[in-house]
Amino acid sequence: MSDRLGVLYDSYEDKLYRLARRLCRNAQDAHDLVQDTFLRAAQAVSSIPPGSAEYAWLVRVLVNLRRDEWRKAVVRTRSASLVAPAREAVPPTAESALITKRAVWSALDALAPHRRTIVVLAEIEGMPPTEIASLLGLAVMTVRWHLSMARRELKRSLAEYLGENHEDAIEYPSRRRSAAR
Amino acid sequence: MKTLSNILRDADPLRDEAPRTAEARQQLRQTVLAAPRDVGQRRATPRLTLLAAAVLVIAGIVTTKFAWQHASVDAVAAVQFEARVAESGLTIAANRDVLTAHAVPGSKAGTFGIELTFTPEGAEKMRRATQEHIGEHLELLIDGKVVMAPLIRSAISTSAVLSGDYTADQTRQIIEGLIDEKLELRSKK
Repeated sequence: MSDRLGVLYDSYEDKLYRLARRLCRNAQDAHDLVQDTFLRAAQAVSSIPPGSAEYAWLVRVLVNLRRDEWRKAVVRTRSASLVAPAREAVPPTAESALITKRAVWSALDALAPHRRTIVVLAEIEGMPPTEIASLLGLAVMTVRWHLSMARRELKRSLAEYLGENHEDAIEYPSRRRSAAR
Repeated sequence: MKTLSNILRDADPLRDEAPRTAEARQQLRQTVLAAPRDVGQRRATPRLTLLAAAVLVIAGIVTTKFAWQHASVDAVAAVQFEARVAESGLTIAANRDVLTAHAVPGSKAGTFGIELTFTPEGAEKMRRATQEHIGEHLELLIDGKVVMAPLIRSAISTSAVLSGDYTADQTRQIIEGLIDEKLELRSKK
């Protein structure tokens, strides 16, 4: 058992950390998330499916743990946003790239964890929807729908940072269908 | 022209951060391998399972009875809550969007405010509407009366505080009214 856990760790720890880092606000949170994922794996190591499905199993545990954390954070934030701006104050000397990055991560933070995971896998890791669906155990249509909704939400939040013709640059499944007709 | 994919990739934290040290990864590996194994595989004894099932059934009966009584008897005392954009009058959320209501200390001694937590659907409606109306005023109404109208400075989603400086009796009535309305709505489904 311990050997298998060690093999799992050596095989997937880096990949899981990369995904976790893109789902968390900072490196420490990502580190903790990966640790919790493997601790969960340690408790159920005999029930982890063999072969290529083991990575999918670990990813789903990681995303579910992230979702639990996200829910707790949502409760913690409460009504602070009523009286205080949610965005961090940006020093006037900060570069525009930094401002854009902060805006991007704030916009990603606003997405639900599953939706954010799908966006990260598709847009940053370049994974096709069929592969994402297989990894997360979802229907391909569900992945496409979440991707489309996430892009719309991000486009709305980041409108000022996108180019003038950003709508044309964003590809929606419905547009692809109509264009194909 | 920047596309969404471009700015997401530009903002990827892994591009700028230093790689993790071998020591940190090794330490994490040791923590993982030293963890207790397969404790989730243990099965509860039949006696414990039966006891847990009995407790759940009793709790279910009590909860249903309590909810039904409140839903059918106290519906008359319901308090109408509404959140709307002041400038346009657009209604954003109402009783059905309120998940919980709690008393919180008011700004004056002996007074109370009421903290409302929204349901996931309500929170999403609040977030979308307030994000689109930043810079405008949000009106929070109790029984049709505006109790506060804060400026929307950023998106509001999960909760809001009615800082109306209510007395203890008023606070109790509003909270009970909000919750009763919720139960009434549930019972009609």
